[in-house]
Amino acid sequence: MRLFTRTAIAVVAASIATAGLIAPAQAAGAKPGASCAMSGMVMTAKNLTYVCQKSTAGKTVWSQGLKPGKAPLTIKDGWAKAADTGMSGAFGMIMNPTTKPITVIGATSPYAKAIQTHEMVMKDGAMVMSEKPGGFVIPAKGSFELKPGGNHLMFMGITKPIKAGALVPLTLITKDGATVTVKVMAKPYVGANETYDPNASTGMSMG
Amino acid sequence: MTDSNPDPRITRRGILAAGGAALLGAAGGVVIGRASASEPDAPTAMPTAASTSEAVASGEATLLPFYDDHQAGVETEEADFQTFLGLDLRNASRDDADAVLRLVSDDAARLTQGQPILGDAMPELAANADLMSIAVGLGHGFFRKAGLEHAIPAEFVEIPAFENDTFEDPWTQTDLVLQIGANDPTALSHAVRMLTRDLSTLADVRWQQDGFRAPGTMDLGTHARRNLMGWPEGKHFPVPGTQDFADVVWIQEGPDWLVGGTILVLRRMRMELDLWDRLDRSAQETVVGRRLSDGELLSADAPGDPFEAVDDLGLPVIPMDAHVRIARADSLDGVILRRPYNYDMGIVDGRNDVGLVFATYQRDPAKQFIATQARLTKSDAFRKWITAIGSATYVFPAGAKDGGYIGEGLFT
Repeated sequence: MRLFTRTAIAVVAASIATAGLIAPAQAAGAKPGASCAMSGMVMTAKNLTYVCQKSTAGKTVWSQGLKPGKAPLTIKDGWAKAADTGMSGAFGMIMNPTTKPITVIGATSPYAKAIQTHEMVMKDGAMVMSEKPGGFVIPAKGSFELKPGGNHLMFMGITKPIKAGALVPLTLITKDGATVTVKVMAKPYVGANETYDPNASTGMSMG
Repeated sequence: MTDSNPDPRITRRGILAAGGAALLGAAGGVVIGRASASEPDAPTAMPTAASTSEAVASGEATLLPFYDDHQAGVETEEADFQTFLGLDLRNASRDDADAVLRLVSDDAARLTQGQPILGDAMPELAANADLMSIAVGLGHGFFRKAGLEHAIPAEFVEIPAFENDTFEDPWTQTDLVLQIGANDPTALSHAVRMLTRDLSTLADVRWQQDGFRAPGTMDLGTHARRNLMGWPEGKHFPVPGTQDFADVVWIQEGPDWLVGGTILVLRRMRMELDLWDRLDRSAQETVVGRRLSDGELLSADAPGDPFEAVDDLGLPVIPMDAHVRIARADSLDGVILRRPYNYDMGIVDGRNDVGLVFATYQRDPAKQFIATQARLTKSDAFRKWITAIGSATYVFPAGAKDGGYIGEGLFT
């Protein structure tokens, strides 16, 4: 198992983007359970939303088609790391005012080809980030913190520069297919450069 | 952490502290004639420096609201430390200019309430926001680079260099200024670092002017606040919370983003202390027209108009070229609000580099500042010992609306 720097994964993400494999709005069919190129991609077809996710078996596969709806979530103190290319992260406190837990399985933004739910895990004696299978569970009447060095939403394959001060649209998707869009401010941030463990997070073979 | 008084602008401590706003000594000062002076109540039961420190230690810090009609740091109680950051926008870009104001406003809304900015790795340093204020001023360059030249207010003129001004690099006009005040210098340093970090991809810091003053509030009985020539800062000034103050300071007509704003004239005044030392005490008092002991006019004890008082020889007690005589305004039109801070760069090239970060606020600098300064330049005896080595002028937009940002109306 090798650890890859963000530069390395950014190159891979960019090459995938160039190859046209990742496109949230692409109308090509997504078969539930079929493998998909990169976790965090989202596709909409016939009014159903499909999210490319890491399965418990470690494969990246398309979700069931999810019916649209309105998610009753908010983000407090949301922000994203400014970046011109490659990858970035979004942070803040996801608030769930309802009496039932809500699971966020993914997100979209016009600034990213794919957005993954990441956590930090101990691996070979070092903290590395890794995709969190099943997404983030926001407890009933509770909150879930996204922060540098902790759980975060990982922007893969940035499509256009995220400039400091910009308001970045971010749409959260729950496991039921409900969505909510918030805008988070982009901030220059030199941290959040966590070492990335791509094998664990995407299931892609990277040699 | 919150102030029990709902409006810190009009606390007794606030009003009295504002007395420290008036600088007696330096050029640019304007003194209202005694008859028209608005003075606070007699300074009894004055909070002292010790009580200020205790307030912080016990968590009774005064937090200044960020979302308000006016930006904080002008009519609000003065902090012990204040820093001005002069920045230039890196690009001529409307989006960049907008982003700068969004970032600064978001940071200011948090830092002034003792909260860390988004992405602050050292949130503990933001905790003590006692009297922290963060205000933004825009120079002509900001409007030009943002493509908003048409929005430059008519009354916002750039102040010319006066005859005796010898500006030095880098203390001149920048595209914008951030004014950050705080009672805790550590929190202030942290705020400056967070703000400059957030702007690091959009703007370059040209200069940083750090100012300080003796802690505690202004009280002519204790003279807690003196400048580095030893002068207690003046006692005649527009009093916060009064109509006079509003008439002197706040812009009252114009677009929404401007009404409730003001214009900052920021001058860096070096004191020629080594020369000043050659004057004996009475000569120093004659130059200024005031007593060093308590800041009162030399003729304060004479009956009638102190400016008409004469000595045994029939000569004016306050000389005709005394600073206080030249600087005084005939009417409220010539009055400005002064909030000067001392600066001390130490010994530079073998000489003292100390003086004042001399901040003045007015709604119409052509009427209020330039006329006064022109008089001082021409005939003020004090001008030999005070040199303007920097000058810049900025318009302060109105305060931010709830959840909005400073200057938002320029971009929407």
